Amino acid sequence: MPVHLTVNGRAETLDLDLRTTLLAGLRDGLGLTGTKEGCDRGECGACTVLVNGRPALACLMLAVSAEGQTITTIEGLAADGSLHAVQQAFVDHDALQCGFCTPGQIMAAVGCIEAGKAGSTAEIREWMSGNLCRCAAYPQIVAAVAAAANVGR
Amino acid sequence: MHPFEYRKVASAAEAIAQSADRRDAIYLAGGTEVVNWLKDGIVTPSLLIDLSACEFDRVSLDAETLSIGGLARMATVAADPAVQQIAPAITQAIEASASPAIRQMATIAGNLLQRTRCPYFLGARHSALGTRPSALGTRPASAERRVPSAEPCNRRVAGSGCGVVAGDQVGAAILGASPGCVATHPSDLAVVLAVLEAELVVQGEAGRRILGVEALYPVTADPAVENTLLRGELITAVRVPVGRAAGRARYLKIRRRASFDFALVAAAGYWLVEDGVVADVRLGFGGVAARPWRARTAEAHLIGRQPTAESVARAVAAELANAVFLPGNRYKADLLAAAATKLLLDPPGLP
Repeated sequence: MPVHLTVNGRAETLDLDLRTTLLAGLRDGLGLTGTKEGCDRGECGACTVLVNGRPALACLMLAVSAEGQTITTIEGLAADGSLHAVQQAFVDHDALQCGFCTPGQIMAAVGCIEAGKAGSTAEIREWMSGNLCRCAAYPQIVAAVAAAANVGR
Repeated sequence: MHPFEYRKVASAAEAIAQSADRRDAIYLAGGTEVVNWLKDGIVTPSLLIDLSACEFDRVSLDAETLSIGGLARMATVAADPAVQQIAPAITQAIEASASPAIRQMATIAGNLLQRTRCPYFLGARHSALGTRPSALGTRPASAERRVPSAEPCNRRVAGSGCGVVAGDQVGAAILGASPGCVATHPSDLAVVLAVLEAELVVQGEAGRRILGVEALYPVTADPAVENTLLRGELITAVRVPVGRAAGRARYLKIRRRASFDFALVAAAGYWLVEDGVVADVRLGFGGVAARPWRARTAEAHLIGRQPTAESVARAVAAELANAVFLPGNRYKADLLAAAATKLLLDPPGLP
């Protein structure tokens, strides 16, 4: 079934099996492998993308039900060759080790800051709690989100 | 994933009509439950009816009723100024639910219609390793990668037994359980709505009916019955009476992790103290049954008593007079008393 999406500003048409998740559509259909598959059941946050500007777990969405929606993945965050403020903050604060969870962490952080929920360390920890980091880079992640939130202010 | 047909509908009436033609159709709203159940083979519909384009997703307020559309997203409802002002415990319950990204996707009706589950119901996940499908095109990713649960669970396979009996009992129900199932209902919101005496607007082939939120759930756990909706029915709205209960009630959730976890126990409610005694009280519990548990025995016990921790402990003990404990969940009696005491004497602050 054809599915029409706007992904990172580009109109895309995918011909997909109905059972394909948005995550599989992005990775296998469009080659956008920045979005990671961790648990594939909404528990780890590695597949976090923005759907119409709001964080969503691509593994819990059927691609077909995203018809007509606007998707932003980690590949679409940098503009004009310069990193997004959250990406830059993750670099500056060493907010990763293996990096597998990082795209999801960054997309969730964008949503957290947008929602105005990055006002304190406790608030950031709560609002980023759906994104697991098995390297436990949490202190650096929280610091990066706090710094990026301040940049935006 | 079992093959299915897919139709996106634009209204509740259209959804109901589509469902009437296909006995095994199921509805898709936020997808945070159903997509997992499709992957696991827990549901195998021949038709998936996508409600995401329907418009019963608004919050509205009049003098008597706060009305929340069944398709309203949890995050939207939690952030709604009318909800925060009229019924702040709804915001508390939602913000204690799942993770922010799931709350952005999940709907209010879907939250109430979550499956009663325990680790054994979800057991298939632990045996799913090593079955990754090949690339898209030859075999759809995320399809057919789950294998049937190796754990006994009467909700997964009727008559297969209950893994909790000889297994992990930490989350198990203590009230209203049946020999066949001791799982708890996971909704935080349902506990608050039971305390607020909210009503559900339900639409189906036979028209519209109003259902008290407690009546959505079977009185005694039955592995074969998730809820009391008739086939094809939809929850189009939740109606919360405006007033003292909505304004004063608070929600307290106790979980193993500080965030993003199911309740071990939860308590919702408030009390009003006049002349040194409890003049009005509402209390409900989560994490104790396959339904939100309105603690009417405890409420009756508290009226006219002094507002002390001792009164709360006695009232909770009275509520638990018929509780059935397993070795692994006896702690819930003490934890529930502590949660109710904290809720009533030192209510959690508002966000």
